Amino acid sequence: MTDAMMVPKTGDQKWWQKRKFQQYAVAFLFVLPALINFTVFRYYPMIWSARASFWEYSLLGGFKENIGWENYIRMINDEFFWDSLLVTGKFFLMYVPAVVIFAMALALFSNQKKPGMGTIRAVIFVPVVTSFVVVSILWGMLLNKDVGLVNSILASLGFGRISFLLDKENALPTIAMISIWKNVGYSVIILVAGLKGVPEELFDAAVVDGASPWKQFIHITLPMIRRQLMFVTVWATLGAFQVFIPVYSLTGGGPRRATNVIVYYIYSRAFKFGEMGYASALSIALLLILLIVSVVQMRLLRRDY
Amino acid sequence: MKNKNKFAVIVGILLILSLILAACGGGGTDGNADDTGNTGNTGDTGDTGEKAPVALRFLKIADDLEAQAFAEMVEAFQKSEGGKWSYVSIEYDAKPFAELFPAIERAVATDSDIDLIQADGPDVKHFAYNGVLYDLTEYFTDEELAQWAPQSIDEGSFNGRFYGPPEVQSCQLLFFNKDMLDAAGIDYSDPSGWTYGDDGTGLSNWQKLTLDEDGDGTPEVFGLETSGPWDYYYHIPSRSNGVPGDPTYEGIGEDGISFVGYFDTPEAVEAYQFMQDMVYEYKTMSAERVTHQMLSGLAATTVSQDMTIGTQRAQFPDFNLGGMEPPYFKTPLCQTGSWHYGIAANTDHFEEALAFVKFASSDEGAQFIWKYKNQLPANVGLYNTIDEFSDPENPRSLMADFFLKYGAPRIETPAYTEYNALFTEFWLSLMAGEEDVAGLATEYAELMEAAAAKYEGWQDQ
Repeated sequence: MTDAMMVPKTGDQKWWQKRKFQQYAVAFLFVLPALINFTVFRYYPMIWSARASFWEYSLLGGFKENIGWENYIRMINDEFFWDSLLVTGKFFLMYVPAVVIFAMALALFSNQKKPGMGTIRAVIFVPVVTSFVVVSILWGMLLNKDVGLVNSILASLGFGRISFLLDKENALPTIAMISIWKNVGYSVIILVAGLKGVPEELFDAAVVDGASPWKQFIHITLPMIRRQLMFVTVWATLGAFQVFIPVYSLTGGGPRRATNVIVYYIYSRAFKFGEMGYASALSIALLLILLIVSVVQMRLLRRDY
Repeated sequence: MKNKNKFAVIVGILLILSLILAACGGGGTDGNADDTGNTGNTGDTGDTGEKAPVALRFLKIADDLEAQAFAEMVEAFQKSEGGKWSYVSIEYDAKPFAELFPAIERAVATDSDIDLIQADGPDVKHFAYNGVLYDLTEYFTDEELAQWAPQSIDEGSFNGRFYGPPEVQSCQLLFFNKDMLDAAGIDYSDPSGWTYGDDGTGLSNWQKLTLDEDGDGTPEVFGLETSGPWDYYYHIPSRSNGVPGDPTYEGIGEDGISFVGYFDTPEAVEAYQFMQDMVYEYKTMSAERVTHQMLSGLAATTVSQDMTIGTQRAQFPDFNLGGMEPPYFKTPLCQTGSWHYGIAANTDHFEEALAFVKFASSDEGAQFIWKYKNQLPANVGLYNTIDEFSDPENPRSLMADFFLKYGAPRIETPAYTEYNALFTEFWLSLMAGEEDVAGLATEYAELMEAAAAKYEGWQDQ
């Protein structure tokens, strides 16, 4: 009996025997692990957090009382919450444009067809794969006002010593600088991948037409890698709103709450002040903010997809 | 056949996935079963009278030296009482210091099968308040309690009930680089503490010890090391500017939740101002902390616990270390409190956990901790049996004497975690050069009080 003889006629096929279902089933199996991961480790905690936000809840004390919208009302009246959003906004303005611009510049530089560019890309990527806690502590030592290497160099060059992390004006830009150094490599790799996909013929034609390198960049390179640019921008934005480790490791939100970014504030309320219910409400607010920002960014950057 | 094959492939993949998932989920233990498949039940296994193995899970700080101590201690415990507890073993879940408190919170929130908890002294009240720890009052006799200093019993108690037998104790001395003091012509033969304040004996000594040889305004050697911005170190100067019983010394109201009028008294503000002046006016301290500042030659003195002795021996063997009583304003003082054992309230192995905790906190158990960790024992009897505590030339001897005479527990409140978080913010702002020190102190006293308000009535609980 041949295989063809065993296949039922189309009209006789059960639903699970239909080709389309089987294609979907196979595809579903491939995404199933990711789906399980997201459901268990992302969506379930989000739903659980949304529930906790309506309760007076601490990790040690458990769920004490359903307090309705009280945590959200408290959030609206919490000056430290708004202050932390403002600090996060400032960090966003320092971090995102810098990441995108530096990543673009480094991607263009390291995408040149010259010897050693692979090594340079690897060097740029190294900070990405190092522990953020470890590099934060190392940066803290380097930037120490009295005994740090950076200040020793500045002093030997005749400049005054700078209190990078203990001055409320300098602390946030310093955290931004460390975060940019740590994360820019990832964006570079994404943009380099985009640049590699731009057909050479477009540049050849532009050269023939007499386009300057700047015009080539504006009219060919940028439009051709806009998907990668959008990804890098959204990814940097999400990173800006979720910055935590350097603040936790170096400044503890200070001095005078100058680096009290929203995620650190949420962490403090949850683990230092035992207010997991309130921290959950803050987390839900952050989730909504990030959703809105991401959607707006994607709409602004979207063209034909 | 083609469709059949596809279906078989799908079923196969599903089967493999389910096996993977089952394997991933299979690591946990069901109920109290341990790795050997035992139920952890303390009952007899049968007519033989032998107990089924019990593994106590111990959530503790990651500390290599302590791990060695516990390894040896557990062996001794198993052999104790004629091998009565030979069926008990300990599984450790060790966390770095900063992660231990959140790890305990998570373990409680997720109802993990933790039997033993290592709690920092000031946190015992917080855990007891939240019902995390077993009340051990009825299980320790007066004779057993007498093994420990009164400070340890205070720190292990909550509302008059005893929850946490101590593992070790803590107190500070002023450790110094003898070579630097010799070079500065400072006599350290008298171990009495220097005094803080503009007219105190400490400032002139720290100024002599501060070296700015290149004259760039930034000393190469500071007189006094900058410690971590925590209550443990930096509530000492302000508390010492009061006398026992007054608001400045106590640092908190009798209700355990009032900070305004205690944290921000004029005497406390005077102390905060002086410590800030040590950085900006006198330049005898760096604003930012430097790890091992004194031991690496960047400071001449440090106010620290006896951990400094161990670090010096292990990492700076040529360092010429000396010790004297810690500096103070009016009242000599060191802040006490270190690790305590706690039994998780939801343990299924209370009998075994209690036996282990009793053994570990006894003089016999404490000797293992001393042997490896070399931290001030909570068991005061050991001060008479260990040579280092009977040698008057040894800083440990001085520390033990000072601890018994002047050691005071850190502020006693279930809100210690909240308070300490705010204290750190306060201190960092002070060290950042905040000009209105009195305003800063009052602002943070109010924040501390607001954070502690949720514990109102805790003493009636």
